[in-house]
Amino acid sequence: MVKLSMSRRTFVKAAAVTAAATTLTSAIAPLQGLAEGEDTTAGQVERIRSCCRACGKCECGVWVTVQDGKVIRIEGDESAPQSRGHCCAKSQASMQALYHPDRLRYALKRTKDKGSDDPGWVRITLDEAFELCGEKFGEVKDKYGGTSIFVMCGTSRVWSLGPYQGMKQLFGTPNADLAYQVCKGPRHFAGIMTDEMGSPWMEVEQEPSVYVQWGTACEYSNYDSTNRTVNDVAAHAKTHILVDPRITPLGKEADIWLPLRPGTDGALALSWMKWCYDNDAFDDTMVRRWSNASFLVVDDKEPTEGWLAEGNGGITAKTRLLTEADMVEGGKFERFMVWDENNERLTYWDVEVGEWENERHRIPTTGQWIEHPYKPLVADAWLPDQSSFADPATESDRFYNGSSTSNPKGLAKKPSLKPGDVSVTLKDGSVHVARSVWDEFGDLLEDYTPEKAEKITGVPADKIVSAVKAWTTHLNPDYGNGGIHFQLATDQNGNSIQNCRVLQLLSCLTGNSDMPAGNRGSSKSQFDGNPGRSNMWGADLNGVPYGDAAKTWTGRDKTLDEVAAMIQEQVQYFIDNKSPLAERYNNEVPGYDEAIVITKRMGGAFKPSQTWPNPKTIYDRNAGEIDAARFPLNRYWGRWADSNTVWDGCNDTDVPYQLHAGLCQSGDFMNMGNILVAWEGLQKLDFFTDINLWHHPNNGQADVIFPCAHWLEIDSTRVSQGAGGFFGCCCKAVEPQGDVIYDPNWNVRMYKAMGVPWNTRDTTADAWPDESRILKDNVDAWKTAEFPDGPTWEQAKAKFQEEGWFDCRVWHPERWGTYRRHEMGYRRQQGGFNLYPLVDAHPGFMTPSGLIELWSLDMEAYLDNNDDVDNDGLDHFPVYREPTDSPILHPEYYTEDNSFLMTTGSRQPVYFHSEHRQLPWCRELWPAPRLEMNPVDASRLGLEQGDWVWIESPWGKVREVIDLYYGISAGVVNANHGWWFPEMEHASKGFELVNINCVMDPYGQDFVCGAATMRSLPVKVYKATADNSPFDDPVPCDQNGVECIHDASDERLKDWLPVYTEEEWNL
Amino acid sequence: MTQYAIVTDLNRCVGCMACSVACKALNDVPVGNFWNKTLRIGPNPTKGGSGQWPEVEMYFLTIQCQHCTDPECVKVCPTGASQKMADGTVQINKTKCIGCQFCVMSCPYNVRYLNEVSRVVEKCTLCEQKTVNGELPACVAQCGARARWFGDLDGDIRDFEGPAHPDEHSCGYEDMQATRVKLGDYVEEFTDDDIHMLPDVGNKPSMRYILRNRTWQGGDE
Amino acid sequence: MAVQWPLIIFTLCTCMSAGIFGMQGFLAYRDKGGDLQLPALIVSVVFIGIGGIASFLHLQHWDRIFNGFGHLTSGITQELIGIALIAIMMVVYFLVLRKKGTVPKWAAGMAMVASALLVFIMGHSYLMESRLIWNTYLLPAYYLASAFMLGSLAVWLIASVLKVDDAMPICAKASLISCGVMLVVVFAYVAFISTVTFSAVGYYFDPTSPTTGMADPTTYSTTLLTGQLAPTFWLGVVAIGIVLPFIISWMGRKATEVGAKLSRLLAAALVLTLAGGLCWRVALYVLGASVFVFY
Ligand SMILES: Nc1nc2c(c(=O)[nH]1)N[C@H]1C(S)=C(S)[C@@H](COP(=O)(O)OP(=O)(O)OC[C@H]3O[C@@H](n4cnc5c(=O)[nH]c(N)nc54)[C@H](O)[C@@H]3O)O[C@H]1N2
Ligand SMILES: Nc1nc2c(c(=O)[nH]1)N[C@H]1C(S)=C(S)[C@@H](COP(=O)(O)OP(=O)(O)OC[C@H]3O[C@@H](n4cnc5c(=O)[nH]c(N)nc54)[C@H](O)[C@@H]3O)O[C@H]1N2
Ligand code: SF4
Ligand code: SF4
Ligand code: SF4
Ligand code: SF4
Ligand code: SF4
Ligand SMILES: [Mo]
Repeated sequence: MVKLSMSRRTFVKAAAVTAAATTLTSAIAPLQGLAEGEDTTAGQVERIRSCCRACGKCECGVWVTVQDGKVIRIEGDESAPQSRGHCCAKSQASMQALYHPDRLRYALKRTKDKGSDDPGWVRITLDEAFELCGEKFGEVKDKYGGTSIFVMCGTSRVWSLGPYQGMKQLFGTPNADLAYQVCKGPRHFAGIMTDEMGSPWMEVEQEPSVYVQWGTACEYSNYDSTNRTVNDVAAHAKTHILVDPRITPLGKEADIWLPLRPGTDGALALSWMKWCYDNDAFDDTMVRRWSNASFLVVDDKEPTEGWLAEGNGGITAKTRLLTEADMVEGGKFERFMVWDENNERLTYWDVEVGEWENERHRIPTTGQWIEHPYKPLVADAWLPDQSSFADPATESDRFYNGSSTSNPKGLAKKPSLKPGDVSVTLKDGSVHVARSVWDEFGDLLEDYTPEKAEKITGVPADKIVSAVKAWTTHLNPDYGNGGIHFQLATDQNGNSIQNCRVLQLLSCLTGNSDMPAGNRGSSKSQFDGNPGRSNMWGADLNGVPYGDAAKTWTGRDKTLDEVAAMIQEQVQYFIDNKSPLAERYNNEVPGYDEAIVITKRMGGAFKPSQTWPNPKTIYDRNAGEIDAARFPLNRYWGRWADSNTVWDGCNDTDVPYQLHAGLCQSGDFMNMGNILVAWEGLQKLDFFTDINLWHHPNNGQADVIFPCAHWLEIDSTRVSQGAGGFFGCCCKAVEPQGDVIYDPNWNVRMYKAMGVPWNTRDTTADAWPDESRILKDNVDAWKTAEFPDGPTWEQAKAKFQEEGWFDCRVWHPERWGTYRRHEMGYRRQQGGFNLYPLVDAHPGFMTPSGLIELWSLDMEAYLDNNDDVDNDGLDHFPVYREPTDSPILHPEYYTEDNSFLMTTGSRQPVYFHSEHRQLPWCRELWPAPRLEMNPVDASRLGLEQGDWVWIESPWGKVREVIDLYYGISAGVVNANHGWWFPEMEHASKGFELVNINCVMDPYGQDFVCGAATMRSLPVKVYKATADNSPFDDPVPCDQNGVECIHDASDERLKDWLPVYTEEEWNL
Repeated sequence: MTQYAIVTDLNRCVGCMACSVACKALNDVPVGNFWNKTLRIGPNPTKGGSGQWPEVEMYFLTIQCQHCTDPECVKVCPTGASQKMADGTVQINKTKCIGCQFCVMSCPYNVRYLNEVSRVVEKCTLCEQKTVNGELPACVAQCGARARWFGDLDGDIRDFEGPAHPDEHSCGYEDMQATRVKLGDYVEEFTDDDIHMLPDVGNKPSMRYILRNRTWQGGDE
Repeated sequence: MAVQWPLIIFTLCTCMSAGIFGMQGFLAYRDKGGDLQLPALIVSVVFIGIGGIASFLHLQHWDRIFNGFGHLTSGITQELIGIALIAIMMVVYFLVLRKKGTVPKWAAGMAMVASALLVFIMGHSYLMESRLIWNTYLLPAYYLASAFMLGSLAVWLIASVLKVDDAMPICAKASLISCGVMLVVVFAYVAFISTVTFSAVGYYFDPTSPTTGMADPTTYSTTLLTGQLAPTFWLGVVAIGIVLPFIISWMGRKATEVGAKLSRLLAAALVLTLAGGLCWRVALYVLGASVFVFY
């Protein structure tokens, strides 16, 4: 790219063309001031470098312009590579939220009964509001216990994620209702069981040579790559593949489109697997050396039990995989048996030491530097070559005990993928047939030939083949064409966890995970991007149990000094082997001090056993989760309690115990499941509180509402979600208005209200520390030569203002500036992402088997070998299940002329879920919710563009506007989500008229994790008429018969323009 | 001669409407009125295809004042409020406009409207207050897909400029504004046949649209 | 396109005014209707006044009108000049009438030519390349026919009220002819409309007004005759605006004896003609879509 840089001055000169009169009337003076621009002479103008949070996705670098103390403009920061200068409609409209007349600016208390149209809000002080919360939550806790309180949170307002962690601990409840359950959570969940927590995140920014856009549309969602980025990506890719039931704004440019029936992604992905399986399209090293595909299974043995470490602390495995413990007395169950086809004997992978039998892993010293398309703004990253099994003939140094017993034929190991039937004798003398995981998986794949998949998905077999072929045919000899950019759809269309597993496995096994532009997980940065999410408890206090000394393994529990020494050794090794990677350390072994800095930036000391893992597995600890019986694996996962079960808990429907109180921070009951049920549940609670920017349906049933600060009023650390690889800051542009409160401070004050200390760790700080101290926690790990003890928040922020966005490849080179980290020993970290330290330096992955798990030991232990679970015992594999109410399972739902299969939620570019509908600049661009329908269906049903229609399912009905969209199959419709009407006065704000989640099947859920099925749903669609609509009006009306806003020309939009004085604020 | 204009690469435009808000934020356009809009064209059956889903195609079309070479709106304006400027843009002198709205009627693209408060007609100014300072129009600088490019139509459209990333993270706001990339160095290849304009009834619109491998709908006589 | 009522009133009144002025000129030229000259002139002036007010109401800043209203390519500048000129001529006409008691031939000719010219200019100002259905000389032709019909009927009515016998047969004949002309012009226009084609755009969506249907210009050719505008056209334009006035004119053509009954009939015919003119003008706005039909 050739760039032009012209100084401002020369351009002004060049532009000062003498104006010649071109009309009769006058010589033309430049008509400046025709447009009200910002008048730089009018007052003081300040430019603040910041990070947008008008949506919760994607950390777009922005410049905020403040004039005379008012924010007047927000623009993209072109120097921020993670966002490429992007700044969307929502962001640019942010001032309209900040200065909105209806914004909440004071705490409010209900004075009328719940369920009444008017809650009778009265203004109270913040102190009064917290006091009330302390009192009410205290009462409920005393009476029914902490578990009867649930906490609730939405998505990705990164400084308002208290309910993901700290707020659970405050009440001692496992019951958190989190949007995460339908968003990214399933991918993280599947990731932690496959290779790494969050690994499906693709490094889109690196620009894959084949772009597979699978159930995602970042051009509108910016999830977690921006419109600008994916536009470049799609244009630069040699082939662009779209997997989507609809033609999408970017997908319109695709070379291959696989328009599948909503909800059938699992089947389609398995057909890709099948094709790769049959056509040797996998990366042999990834399958054979780095996955558990070669492990042997003995179907008819008693499951072997034992504790295995993994990202979530550990599981109690219960497996039919063959282990050494099954075969010999005193054998280790951590040793998984495989058939070595070169040496024709059984050998094993020992997960405890992270080694194949007798082989010491040699970190590859050869490799190449990968340039980023945004070089020089983004540093090069190191791609090591792959390692191989040791060859005794040439590489005896790899056998650390000097023997070559594991290779009796003198040949390098070759774990067999297709050994056929292997006869094994167990320690009790019984003889069994063992088969490889790969062979068993092959049996399952028989049902997913492209032809069979065509029947399920509706995608022609030849298209399936051409797509998978294009993706797997290397355009570069050294690495794959990039990952699969699969995002939201697969979380929400019924088979969430397994969908995500099969897709992530495709990426892993074809050698595209943690590869350039591959599915490589979350950026590893020096900031923690979620201030206030966790409290600051010392590990030994407040009932958090000690770790278990028994659960130690070789290679962990290393002090800072010990890790530093390891690093010195490693660099010496790179130098000795003339590895180009030694350049990273200036071709010199770092001295002690430097080695300590490197150690710290890598995450510091390896977790001592005394703090992690916990003596009890997370699965055992979460036995009391309200959904424990319905979704046992959620006990293992431990992040959320199934949302639907939470609402049943409020309503006391078929649950182990009732829920009596709740707290919500930046979340919304309308986000999943059937929300009419949820609304009813909220009404039954003894106490509910919400902190929000707005009067919103979410607080229509609250007892107390708190006003939160807007992103233009706050400070926060930010880390690019996903694989963007940058970190920086959100920086306060203006002072907060009224009594608004910064969300992390709200968490701390809620602790105080309950009399629980937030901080017991830092003795120099208050038990309820201030904002600056909270933020210090999030930058503390950034221990650099400049700030050896980590900067203060203020220092970090000043550095950001000055230096701009920080490159993870530069500041965290080992763990982000390096690919194939499993080869390097940089990938074994505790669950979670970003900053969690490594737990050891083993090669491989932080899964129970330490390898990519085609056969999931988690699933096997807690689902397949769980007597309480009713499944086929096959969930250790990524099986395909039809969505709960699919046309295959329930043809009876689809018999009418106006029956449709509905998907929902494709992003509306000017809204963030339920947000921004009161911002004039957003609402005028998308004034009403739309239902996309194929014109062929519409004309059959007599529907025209712009008609309001009823969308009715067995569980509810709402109205949206018909959008004739030829980009969707006949028989399928796509509904906008997140709607409500801020223009309506009553407590529910009209959500029941229009929010599509009113029609969801409350029990339409993923079998494994309970994620609501919002992208495969039976509905009937018919025209709204005077006859079938309240107030004889097809347009949704408030309780007085006043129509909602549904056109840009609606005058009411003007009532929502910014106000700047207190007198104009509404309560 | 100078004829400032915007070229939009419609294969890049995704209809995100960031351009509309960018314009509003800068130019104080009344709520309910627009100086630029993005329409969705299609999906329509692909030419030569089955005539049915999934053989359909679509694109998004950005519409604003086309700063015509031979503008109708200027011809019909009784007061001379609407003028063709030396930089090729068409501007309205708000102190002269009597609000007769004949220009509104005469514009083929409905891009003018009467401001209900000031009671004069308004439309896109091509951000002259920015371009005169060497900056890019707001909708170009903020385009969500970097689909928009600004330049002089009397030159080569490959020389039109768009925003680009600087080489330093620390780059300040002003320097960022000055960093540019040329259309020809950035977007995918295109041929002369891929360049379109809105239907011309003699007004000679100046905006250009690049649309590859798709049927341009609506004609550009 | 949205219906612009002030402009409709303006063109209607201008046609009426110019029609009367022209018709009285014609009578004067034929040395007839001397007694109705002054009253007719007053009526004509009144209508141009109403029209002027209506058009001023349409302007948002008529205070600025003199700041620069001289852009000659502009139709309304021409129109304004036309109105100013015709006003001057009316004054001149008035002065010679006052002075001489009769209208000399040159003045009579001037009235006819000026009226026709003004109506033509007015129609011409709506000829815009962007509005395919307006962009035809049938538009000024229509306004001329409209002025002709309104003028004949109005002057006939004045003659019948004032019992100016010698003007009656000419007015009657003019009325009947004007109805015929109108019929021909309107159907010629309809024929023209059916030849106008807008380029097809297929499906499209304007995000800012999701509840508005798609514009479908392919129906324009038929909408007048059989579509949405059929009642406006057949009932309003044809039946009310042409056929009924024709019948009334036919019935009144032989009435040598002037009386209240005839006046009432003629008044009715005039009102019907105005209504018909209104309908057609509204229809033209509805059909006045831009060549670029997306929104
Ligand atoms: N049908 C359907 N439903 C869906 C989806 C779909 O595709 N289809 N998508 C789902 C997905 S992926 C997600 S992530 C969820 C999102 O679900 P949520 O995150 O729960 O949804 P939001 O509507 O964004 O609601 C968040 C609430 O937080 C408030 N808020 C905004 N900013 C702040 C802040 O800074 N502090 C505080 N305290 N509050 C704030 C907002 O006003 C709003 O009330 O929705 C899901 N719902
Ligand atoms: N403007 C805006 N941006 C947002 C949000 C927002 O509300 N508004 N929400 C944010 C959040 S929380 C999230 S999670 C992200 C989500 O962002 P994305 O992952 O981009 O998800 P969506 O746009 O919801 O849906 C992507 C595509 O899934 C397709 N789809 C529907 N059903 C299926 C199916 O069964 N299979 C397949 N393969 N595709 C299907 C839809 O047609 C759509 O094109 O967006 C984030 N960004
Ligand atoms: S995509 Fe999200 S973060 Fe980026 S500018 Fe838009 S609202 Fe802000
Ligand atoms: S901002 Fe750019 S991509 Fe978005 S609608 Fe406008 S022109 Fe298209
Ligand atoms: S697009 Fe319309 S308003 Fe703009 S210059 Fe052309 S005719 Fe005038
Ligand atoms: S409205 Fe204003 S700019 Fe338009 S034609 Fe009339 S005077 Fe000229
Ligand atoms: S060029 Fe400027 S005035 Fe014109 S549409 Fe773009 S932002 Fe608005
Ligand atoms: Mo989400």
